[in-house]
Amino acid sequence: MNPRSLFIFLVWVASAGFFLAGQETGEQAGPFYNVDTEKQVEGTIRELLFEPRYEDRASFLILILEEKKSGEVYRVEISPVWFFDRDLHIGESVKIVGSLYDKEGTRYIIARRLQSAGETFLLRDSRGFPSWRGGKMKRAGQHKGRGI
Amino acid sequence: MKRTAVILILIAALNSSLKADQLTLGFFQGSTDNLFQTAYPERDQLSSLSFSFSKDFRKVSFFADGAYSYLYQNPYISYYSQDLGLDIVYTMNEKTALYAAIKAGGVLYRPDYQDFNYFSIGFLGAVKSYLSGSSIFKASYAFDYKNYKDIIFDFTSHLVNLSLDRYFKTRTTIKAEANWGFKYFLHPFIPVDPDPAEPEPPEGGHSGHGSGHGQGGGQMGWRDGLSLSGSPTQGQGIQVFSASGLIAQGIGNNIGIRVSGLRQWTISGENPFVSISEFYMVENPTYDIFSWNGYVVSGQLTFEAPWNTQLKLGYTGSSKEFPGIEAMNLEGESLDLLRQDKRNQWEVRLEKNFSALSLYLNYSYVDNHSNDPLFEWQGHFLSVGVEWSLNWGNER
Repeated sequence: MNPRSLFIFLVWVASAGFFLAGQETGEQAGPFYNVDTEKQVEGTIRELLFEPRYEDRASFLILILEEKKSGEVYRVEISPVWFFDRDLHIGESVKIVGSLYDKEGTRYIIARRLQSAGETFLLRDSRGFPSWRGGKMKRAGQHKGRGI
Repeated sequence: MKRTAVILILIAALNSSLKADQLTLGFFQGSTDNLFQTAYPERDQLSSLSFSFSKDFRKVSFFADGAYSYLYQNPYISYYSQDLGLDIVYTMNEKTALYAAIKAGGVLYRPDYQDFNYFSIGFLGAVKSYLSGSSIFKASYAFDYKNYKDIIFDFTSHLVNLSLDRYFKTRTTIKAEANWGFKYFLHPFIPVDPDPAEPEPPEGGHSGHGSGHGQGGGQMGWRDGLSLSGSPTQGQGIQVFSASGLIAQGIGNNIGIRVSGLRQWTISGENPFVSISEFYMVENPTYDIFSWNGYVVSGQLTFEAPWNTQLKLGYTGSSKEFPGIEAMNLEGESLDLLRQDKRNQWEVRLEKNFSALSLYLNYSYVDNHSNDPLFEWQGHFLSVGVEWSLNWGNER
């Protein structure tokens, strides 16, 4: 098939995708990001888990983080697909900014910003909307510029 | 051009009227004094307007990206690119996850360059597993197929990657990687007896597609031809293998240093073209990771600068040989040597993130030495970019 025809077909499919996206209601179970409960925690990763967080959604990367100052332990929700790009390990020191909530005696943080070894990763915008959408394949073609 | 504009308007209208989860709009402005990266430098500026859209359907995510790029001095290379795909993450247990994605895309160039229009499909499968809390194993497989308007560039490719890392208490990460790849050009050769209407092939037996724009002008086929003669039904494969290592050291939360090295070998096959060229920000089907063998070393310093700004300083050095590609003099006569390039590249990148806006500033300087005098070049590359994320779904 002519590449031009295929390309036009592709754009048509993309448009259809937008339309279908508009039909999704976007129901969500689980806690919302609350900007009023934001907290910064600097600590050490004690455990890493892949864990379901929201019904019918992909599992999330969860960090069990021990705060340096207080020794308090938090379960930190990172993102569903982002972990394919950045590898975190037990023992690594990270600084997290996120929305704090308590559930059944456990302290949870929905991370908005993660800082480690000179790199900062914005996982959500200032209102808490996710900014990690798109997986490994999508991001492979997004880099602008040379090298770094 | 008209059709491209219509497509852009259509997509923008659909985006604004429907409930996407996230839409990111981007503007990128690049400038260089050596667009075609040859000994005959040519200045140009590139403006790129892009959108990126994504939406989750339960465990599957849909994504689409589009960009229109305009070159001011060489508008015949301006192009529109569109990608869309689906991806899914599946967790086998608390320590192992699988990722799979399919993607389709294409690029449309202005009429002067439309031989390089293509449609592509791709697949990516990956697995990531924490062998222990401080050691990660990753494996991935990628397949690509590209169908060009000029069929000599049509190809399929397979890439397999394996990596293993280990993090130490000293905040040091050591990583080893191995890659295997195979690219098969489906029909890169043109008939032995060229069409009498075609221009006469130059000395050395090279003939066929492509036409230059001035001295060393850099458009594909700048040497009066890009294709080799052969059977049009015959394919040509290139198989490569590479091994690499990386050491990364964190110094607090604010500073990171990494040093890496890679060695690549061509296991079988060679490039089926007369020449290999790469351009600034414009894809050239003759140049990619399958084109060369040799080594690459790099170093990078990353730190969190004041006002929540990220600064990256980098150096990359490489020595590459291009199997099947002969070095030539400036008259296009063979020097009976394989083309070899040695390159030094320095780069600075500054990034500042606001609540929904990100700003980028990137500068790099490249000094390329080659036994083919056309590719003895230096270049400065400056770019600025801004990305604006819009969210109007109800998922927070």
